Amino acid sequence: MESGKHLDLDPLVLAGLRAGDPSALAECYRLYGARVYRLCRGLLCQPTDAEDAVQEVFLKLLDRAGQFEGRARFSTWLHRLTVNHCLHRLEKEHRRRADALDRELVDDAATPARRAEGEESRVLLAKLLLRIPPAHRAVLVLRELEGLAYVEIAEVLAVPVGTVMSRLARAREGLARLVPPASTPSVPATTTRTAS
Amino acid sequence: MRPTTSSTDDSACELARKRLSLRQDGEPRDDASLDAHVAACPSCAEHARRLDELRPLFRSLREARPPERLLPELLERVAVRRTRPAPTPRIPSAVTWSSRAAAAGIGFLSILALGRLLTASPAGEEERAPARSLHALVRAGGVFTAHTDLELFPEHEFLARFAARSTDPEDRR
Repeated sequence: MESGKHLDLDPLVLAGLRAGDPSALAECYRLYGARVYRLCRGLLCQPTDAEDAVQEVFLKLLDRAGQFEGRARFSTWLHRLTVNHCLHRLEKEHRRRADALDRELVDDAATPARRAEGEESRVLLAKLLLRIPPAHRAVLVLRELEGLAYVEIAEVLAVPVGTVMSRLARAREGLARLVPPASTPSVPATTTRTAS
Repeated sequence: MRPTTSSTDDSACELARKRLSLRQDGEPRDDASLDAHVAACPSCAEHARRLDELRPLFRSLREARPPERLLPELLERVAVRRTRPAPTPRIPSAVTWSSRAAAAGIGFLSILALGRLLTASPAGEEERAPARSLHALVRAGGVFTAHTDLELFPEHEFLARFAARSTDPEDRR
């Protein structure tokens, strides 16, 4: 049974999840849906892929809530579930070229639903993130989007803290190389494949 | 672009970039030696500038919210899963294992009997008969019927039974 100090989810909601209760799932989604969505977008880059992945993660959550033992915080456990799901998905799709995804991102950003404020910046970031290895992307996304401490990232990814720090530095270096000079409006075209 | 770099410069830049990465996370803010290196190294200064340019991009993604329709769609998927029929219960393992063991036993006996037919010793006429009879058996098209018999009767009895059934006059001798 989970220990109280690690439980950052109402025990009733957790019990409901374990029983497969949809209203408990809805409550959990209200609490964590935005975080899971951000992680999925950061890792998968493509918004429609991210939306699909969010639903898959919450369906998995319903199936696996019984496996949560409370040794880590619930949010850490959910982060791990999300990151693993996205990395597995990326592994399956590693043949998709970054260039093809680039085109999809442009198309997607052009739809009326996506013309919200900030979407242009998100698309630009997605194009950059696509070009760094998923393992580096995961560390960066957990740090920059979720603001997790190095220790927490290490816990989510089951790697030493030193690895987190070095991956972060390499991820940032990889991204910084791709950032265009201040006067250039878009990301330079490259033929680099997604490092999956 | 730096005109020339020594390995010492490279490692100094590498270290500086690691420290710039740490600075992005809020530590160490006050690092005079890092500031001095960045001020003197155009490459690292450009790196620092680019890192700063990434910040608003990440901020934009931090503000991203899932579409409203996502939760209703998720709950619909849950409902669909719940209406699916339950999976067929598994056969108890004891039954499965006993039937597997029986099938394996029958298979083993069949192989053993066929092996004896095919590897008959050429010592005498009586012992050569099985191979000849098997040939005739195939020609007669009675393989499957005789195959079952192989499991139940000794070899000579099987051959006698086959000879009685075969249409080949040579086998009736």
